[in-house]
Amino acid sequence: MAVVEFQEVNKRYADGQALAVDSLNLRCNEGEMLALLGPSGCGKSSTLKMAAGLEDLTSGEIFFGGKPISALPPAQRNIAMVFEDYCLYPNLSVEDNIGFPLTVQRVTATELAKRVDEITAMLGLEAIRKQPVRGLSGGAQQRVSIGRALIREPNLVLFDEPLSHLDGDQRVHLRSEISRLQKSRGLTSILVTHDQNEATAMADRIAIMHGGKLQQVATPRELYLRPANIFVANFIGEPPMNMLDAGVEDGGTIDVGIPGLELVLAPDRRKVLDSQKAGDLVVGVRPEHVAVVPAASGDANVRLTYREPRGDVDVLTLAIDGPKPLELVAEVDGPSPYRVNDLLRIDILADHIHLFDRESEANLEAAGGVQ
Amino acid sequence: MTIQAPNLQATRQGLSVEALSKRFGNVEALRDATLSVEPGEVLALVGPSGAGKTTLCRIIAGLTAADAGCVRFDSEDIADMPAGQRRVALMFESYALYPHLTVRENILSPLKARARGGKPGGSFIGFDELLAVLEIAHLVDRLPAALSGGQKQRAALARALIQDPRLLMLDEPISHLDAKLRHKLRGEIRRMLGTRRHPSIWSTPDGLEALSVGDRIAVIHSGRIEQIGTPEEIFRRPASIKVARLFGDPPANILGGELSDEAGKAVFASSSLKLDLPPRLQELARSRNKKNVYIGVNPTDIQIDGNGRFSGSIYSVEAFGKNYIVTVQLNGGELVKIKTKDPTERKIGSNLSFDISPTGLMLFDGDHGTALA
Repeated sequence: MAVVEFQEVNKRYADGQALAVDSLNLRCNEGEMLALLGPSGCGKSSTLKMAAGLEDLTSGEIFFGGKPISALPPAQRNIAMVFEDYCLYPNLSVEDNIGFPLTVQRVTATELAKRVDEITAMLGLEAIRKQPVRGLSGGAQQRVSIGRALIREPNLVLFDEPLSHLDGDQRVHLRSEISRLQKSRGLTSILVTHDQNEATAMADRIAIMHGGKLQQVATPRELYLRPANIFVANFIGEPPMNMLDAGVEDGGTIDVGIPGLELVLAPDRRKVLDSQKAGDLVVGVRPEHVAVVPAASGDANVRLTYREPRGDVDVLTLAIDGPKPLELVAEVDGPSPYRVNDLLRIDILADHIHLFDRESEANLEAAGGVQ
Repeated sequence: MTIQAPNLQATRQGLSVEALSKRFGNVEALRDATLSVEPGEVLALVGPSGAGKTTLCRIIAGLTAADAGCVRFDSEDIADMPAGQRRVALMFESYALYPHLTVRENILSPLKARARGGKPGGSFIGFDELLAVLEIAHLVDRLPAALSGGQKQRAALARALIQDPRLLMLDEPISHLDAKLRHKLRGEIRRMLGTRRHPSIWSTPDGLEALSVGDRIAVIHSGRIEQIGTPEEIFRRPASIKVARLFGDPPANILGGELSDEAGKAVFASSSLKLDLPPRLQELARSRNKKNVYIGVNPTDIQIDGNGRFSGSIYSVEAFGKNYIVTVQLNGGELVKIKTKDPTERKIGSNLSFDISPTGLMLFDGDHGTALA
């Protein structure tokens, strides 16, 4: 296993086209799982393909353990890939699929048997090792393909949307299996996914990409607590963060247009507002930080327009009527007693709000952005 | 000869499907499926891939013939009515856009087809309004080949929503959209369907989506309808282990063990833990006299607690923003998932004590996996 480093990597597929990957500087530490996360077309798959050697770099360099590898053919990079659609030999048994990369390398039969035993045990595939992979569940097939990837003891494992063909239950299960395996074996890994839950559940750090550019790279917790900009704030968290146009009043109070709600920042945060002009502020509030209580007649400041039960939580869409109509989403413990057209009172703690500049969309307080 | 159209206003009773069965060779795709959907109601049809969702929708639409059973619209048996006359708006999971038509032409195609048939091309919602809701107004002059997967899906959705059908069926309508748009459209489409005169079926493999969009939910598994109920009934009182596994993030923990009587109290015991059944299940457990059972425990009904009655070793930790999913391996080998907001750092392999609040406990038959009720 080795450190993987992208230095000033650019990718342009054809002259005149925009850069698919734009000046990427990124490091995946030894034993770390780094997720590349973003919407389709953000450049994450191009980045993965360049690491694997399936695409050339337009400029820049990729280093494995300090050695440049962009000129090496894929076979000499000692990389293993786990694909979305498994890519197994359907007629071969579980153990023959897993052992396949070694039979090509011509290791001895005893060595092969030993390694296959170890991998099937690790992945809990002993009971089905003689079965052909055709007919196995998607989750079992993906475990076989992970086994095949690991048997060569690669420098780097690339996971390309490994869970997207699986049903919910299997996905949740395999997600924690992969994470456990990766951590207990110290596998240096890069995971490409469009699903924030997958990235958050499995990765040590997540690199968020958008339009070919790296937006932020941080632990899942940091991304949640201090998103570098509005794009990241919107992308991480479900339901997504509420974004409210806001103004700053003379006393330093933030007005988001919700009656009865005055947001006053803690003293140590107030200085960020000094340079902000009135009206150029966007306040972000996560739905789980909107407190909802039933209101006495005069106290209500929102009206429930839509309630989505989601099992252990309810997601409420709340309307603020008045001169400037607004909508806000709150997530509360479920099942909640609230029903459509109920008048409710919401409260938001100033400690939980995020402050963005409307023009640059940058988080006014985050140092976690890309330098 | 002209066919007399029924007076729709007087006879709107929605869709009813009775005992539909269908075989493809050796595969029983659908067995005895019975359900009904009222006008203005959204029935979420949920099940894993291969469960029979698409087969059921195709039979209702008249694209596949059933082996047995019947489909009624407003009490009228439509078994012999050709697909083209059923006035079913069906959005396919595969989009099925016309590749040679622009997005605009694709969306308007069902209205034009009906106008050609001499019937009014009625529509519920304005073209521009619909495009604005779906955020595809800027794409109307493009051909499908120039669209991303998510954009194609929204074009296909617009083509289904613009019609005024007798029944609307959406097959995984928002599966290819990003989280933010999925969240927004789930609510907007759901609200739009609630104001309509026709029944709607929203098919999805995602249990959480079904909870969100369905007035009622029909759970289908291996071609059989396992349960029909409101979102709360389905989540709190699943009719079988198969149903329980589809809902929740993560789904309920299912643990096998035995029931016994200890000093007049029904107690569940496995090799790893022992738990008094809640009052709600006491009488039931006695009357059913069942020994082998499974219990279901929601991950939010387990509290991490240093003085807890149970313990195990930490198997994996998944740190989401607002909560953590901690998987614990019990000494009998079972894995239990706990959902917590407590951000304490936890190491794989270390010991964790916890307690279970039994109030929400589910109880299933050990042989068939059906809820004991």
